[in-house]
Amino acid sequence: MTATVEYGIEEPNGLAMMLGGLIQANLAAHPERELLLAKRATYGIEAPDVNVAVSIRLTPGTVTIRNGLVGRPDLSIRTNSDNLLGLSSVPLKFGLPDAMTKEGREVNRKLLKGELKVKGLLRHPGKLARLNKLLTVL
Amino acid sequence: MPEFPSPEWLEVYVERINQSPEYKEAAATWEGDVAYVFEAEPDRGVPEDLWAWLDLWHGQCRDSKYGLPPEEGEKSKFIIRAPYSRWKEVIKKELDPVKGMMQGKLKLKGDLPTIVRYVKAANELVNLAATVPTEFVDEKAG
Repeated sequence: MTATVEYGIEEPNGLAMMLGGLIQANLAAHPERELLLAKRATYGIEAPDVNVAVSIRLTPGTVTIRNGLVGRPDLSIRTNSDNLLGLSSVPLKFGLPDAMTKEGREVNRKLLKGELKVKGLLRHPGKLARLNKLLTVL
Repeated sequence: MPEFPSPEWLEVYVERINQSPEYKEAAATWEGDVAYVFEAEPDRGVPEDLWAWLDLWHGQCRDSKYGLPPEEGEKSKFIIRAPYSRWKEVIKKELDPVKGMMQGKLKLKGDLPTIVRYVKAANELVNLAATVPTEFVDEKAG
């Protein structure tokens, strides 16, 4: 693996460490996924129930994770901590939750009910798919 | 009632793990040892870091050690560490361990994807810790 995961701060918060750890392990296990970093993308991820947020920036060869929401990300994801963690275990199809599976349908239900908010989903589905592929544990 | 933290507490905890059908099912394919580090809080009766180790294998705890040296504990596949009072909150079910990890209240070392895949088993381990009748060292009578 040549891609690196960097933390844009000396003391990353717990969510930053968790997401960074997931991405790092994913890139180590699947080096071909470094291609997902080829184009720049920015994300804001917020779990209001635990009052934690992170920003993720993809650039060629590097994933940078910072504490809190920084700037205006391409995609903003806001949901509770359980839902957030659960997203990593949802089967994907073309990088998006597979609606043919129970878990994928559950994600869609949460989107419709507003339990999971993804701002920028319609404009940047490809960027969401890239993030999902970097965070999946399946 | 076993005191937390102590070898007696760990012994009862291991018994609870091995008697739990829920844990057995959730961790049926889990392979790997886990170390808990109860970090020192001298003013609460924990003068130094204490390491507890569990050899977890396919839904059972095959072996355990209490008070092992850090250099031995560091070899564990997964290490979860937090100050004593955070562990107390976890055992009293006042702090969800996954939420605690996201908040940085508990620190995890090890393969994150494995933990995420087995989050139900991890939660079950916490549920079982909460079932151990516990006297906390900082609440000890006398």
